[in-house]
Amino acid sequence: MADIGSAAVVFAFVISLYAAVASFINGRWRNAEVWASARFAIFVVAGLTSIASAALVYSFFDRDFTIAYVAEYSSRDLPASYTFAAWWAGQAGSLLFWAWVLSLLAVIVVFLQGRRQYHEVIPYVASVMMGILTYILGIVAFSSNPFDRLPFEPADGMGLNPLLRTSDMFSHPITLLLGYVGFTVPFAFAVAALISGKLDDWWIRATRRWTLIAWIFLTLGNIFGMVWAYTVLGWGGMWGWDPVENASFMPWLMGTAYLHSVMVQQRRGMLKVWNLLLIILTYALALFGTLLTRSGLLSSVHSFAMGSTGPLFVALILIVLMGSLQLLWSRRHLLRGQHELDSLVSREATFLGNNLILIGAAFAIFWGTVFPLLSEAVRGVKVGVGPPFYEQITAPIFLALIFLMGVCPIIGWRKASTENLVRNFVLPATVGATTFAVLYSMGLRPFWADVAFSAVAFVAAAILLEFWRGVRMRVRHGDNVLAALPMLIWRNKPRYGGYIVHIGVLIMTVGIAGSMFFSTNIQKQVAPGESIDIRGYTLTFQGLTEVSTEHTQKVTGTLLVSRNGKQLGTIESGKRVEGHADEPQPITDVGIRSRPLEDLYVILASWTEDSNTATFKVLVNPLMMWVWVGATVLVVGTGIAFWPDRRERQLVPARERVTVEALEPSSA
Amino acid sequence: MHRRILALALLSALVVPVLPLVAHAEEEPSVHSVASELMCQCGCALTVAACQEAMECTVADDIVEEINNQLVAGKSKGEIHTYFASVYGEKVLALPKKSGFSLTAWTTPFLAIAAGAVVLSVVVWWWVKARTGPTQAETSGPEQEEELSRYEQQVERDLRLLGDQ
Repeated sequence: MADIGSAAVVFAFVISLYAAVASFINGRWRNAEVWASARFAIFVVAGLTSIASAALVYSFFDRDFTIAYVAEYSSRDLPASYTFAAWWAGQAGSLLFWAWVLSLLAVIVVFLQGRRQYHEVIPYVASVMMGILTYILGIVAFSSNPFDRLPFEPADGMGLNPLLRTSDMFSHPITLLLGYVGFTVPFAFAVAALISGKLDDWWIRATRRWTLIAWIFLTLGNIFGMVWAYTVLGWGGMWGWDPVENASFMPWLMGTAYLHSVMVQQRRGMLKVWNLLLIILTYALALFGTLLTRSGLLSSVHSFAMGSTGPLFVALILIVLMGSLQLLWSRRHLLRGQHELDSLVSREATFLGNNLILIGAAFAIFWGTVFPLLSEAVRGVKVGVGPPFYEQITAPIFLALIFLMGVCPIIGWRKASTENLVRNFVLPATVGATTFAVLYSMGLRPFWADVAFSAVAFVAAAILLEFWRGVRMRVRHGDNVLAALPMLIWRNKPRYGGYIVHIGVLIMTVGIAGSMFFSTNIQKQVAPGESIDIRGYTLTFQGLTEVSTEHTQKVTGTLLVSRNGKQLGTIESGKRVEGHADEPQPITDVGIRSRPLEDLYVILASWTEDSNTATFKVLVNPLMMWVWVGATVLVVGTGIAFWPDRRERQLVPARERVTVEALEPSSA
Repeated sequence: MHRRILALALLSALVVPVLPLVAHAEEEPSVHSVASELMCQCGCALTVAACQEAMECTVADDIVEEINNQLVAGKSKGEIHTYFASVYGEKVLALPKKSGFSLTAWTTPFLAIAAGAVVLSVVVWWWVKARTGPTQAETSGPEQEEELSRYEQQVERDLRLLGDQ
């Protein structure tokens, strides 16, 4: 099976190279036969990568430990579900997964989207996608091949890292990789627009849903990563500002800036260069994320995968950046906006402000990531840059972003009049200011917590005011009161879906601010019967139980929880030592009691040999549940914004200024 | 009236859940809070607090024990950080110092955003100004008249073509 898989990868590499070249030839010189063969080649490549993927999965289930990748990431006792997930546990398999998804996306773009529209430019889109796929398949075939054989067959494999043996293995890496790969489509359309010289907003309309798909997967990847960190890694938090986390957050920030910026081009025909630049940078950062996640280049809690593809990926990022930026420069004369900004006090200007803040946040994170290297180069002293730095440096930036999130929807396009400002700002500003006054006068500290909650109040008021006005308008036009809200959302899904996404972000902000500013903890050694007191809770240690199997040793501590004399039940927290061969891995089983106001979070830190005493770390994380609630609302909002709209097809694109020359019969 | 009710309802919905936090603000530094501002030196890229929970790490265990001893001895968070910086160097601090070259770690992102804001404001101001100029001239400029005349000729030609059909 390894030979079949290996051969499929090599054939896929060769044929995708042909497809890239043939597609370009057709785009440039229009040759129906060449295009037919290119389309067939794209289809064949998808088939071959599917065969290679199936071969790898089969080899895992067949326990073929002559294959190095199978021996490294699975073992005979690995349950079937994790045996399947071992496909993307390491670098080689992840890249094969990446290539497989990209080949399927190419088929969807060429055979479904390209069949109905964009006939002239789809060959260029296909060429770019297949060119990138060729490069990735080249890495898989010649540098990081999951079918490479060992010189001997070990009796058993090393097994999957116990930290990866959780349900999160099916959500976090998959969604993150789908997000990274997904941005290939809008990038390919943008490059196709540059190559073809057709630089109006067709490519933005063509990729709106593709961008949303990539963005939501990247969002989900980050959220599932937070869940994994909170429930599995057991350090009490959800975001550790690890280099790999940073690498997945930066393209998200850039992609978010792009999602907002394209609205200005669609509406006003402006920011054409800016949007192209943003999608190019977003894609380069998505490749950088893939590189950091799966290259083992930096030490990280994500270093499950070690490989030698670093330089090849860096080369790919440079090719993507230099090639597309050069193309952008050569087309700059075609990228003049149809309109220019009318006023600093306009929605367009707030979108630009939003872009500045999002890119500033990405830059701050990038700066923190590279600063230790910079300091070493300049001073010869390596400094530490850890989570508190990122929290302190990004908090005011995100606060400004939240504020702009409230300003943007209530300020008019082109030029907001004084009347518009007064009419729209009075209520939100009053709600924000009153929230601040109430919280501050009641003694809520630190100061920045008051600012954060009142900023959330301001934005929530601004968004809900928009909903209120919309509903009122529909009721005046005869809608039933109960039907007005759903109908309002349904009739303008992109707009109100976007507002719901913003509401999700606000709810998440409340949770993040609550847990960040008001979390407390205690670490205490206790004997059975002794108690730990924290913020009104009393946790009484009941004792330890120990369970051992062939590959697992698990110790669990049980604590009786009460609050103000009222029994709330028990909470368990344990430590497992799992793993195969010579590298047992300790895993923390966190005990979490989650309620709307706070999470009680218990970690069994250590215990004595005679099991007479145990040391527990107990945290109380306020408002934590709202992070997950907000994330759910955000996903629902994106789903609404994504949902197809029949009226969308009837919409006439923004009218373009047609010159007299364009009306003349072509002399060619 | 409706607006006031909406504002009041919104205010209550936002303020009430946050009020329980008032009682819990500003607590004493703990081992965890000190360990959360020190980077573990085992090569994990995590803070001491996170590393100790996420994996078996004797380096983190030793640092936590020393933090505990120093807190019991009445040392402040700053004094404990200074102690560890003298043992491991600046790389143990999760927060770069706010002096010397390390100050640039703190200032550069904000300077970059401020510079971006200045550039953006200038560009927008320039756009607005440039727009105000031609808009006034649009109705009477010779270029516009010439363009209008060419459009009219084109319309005439198209109408003649339609008439021929």
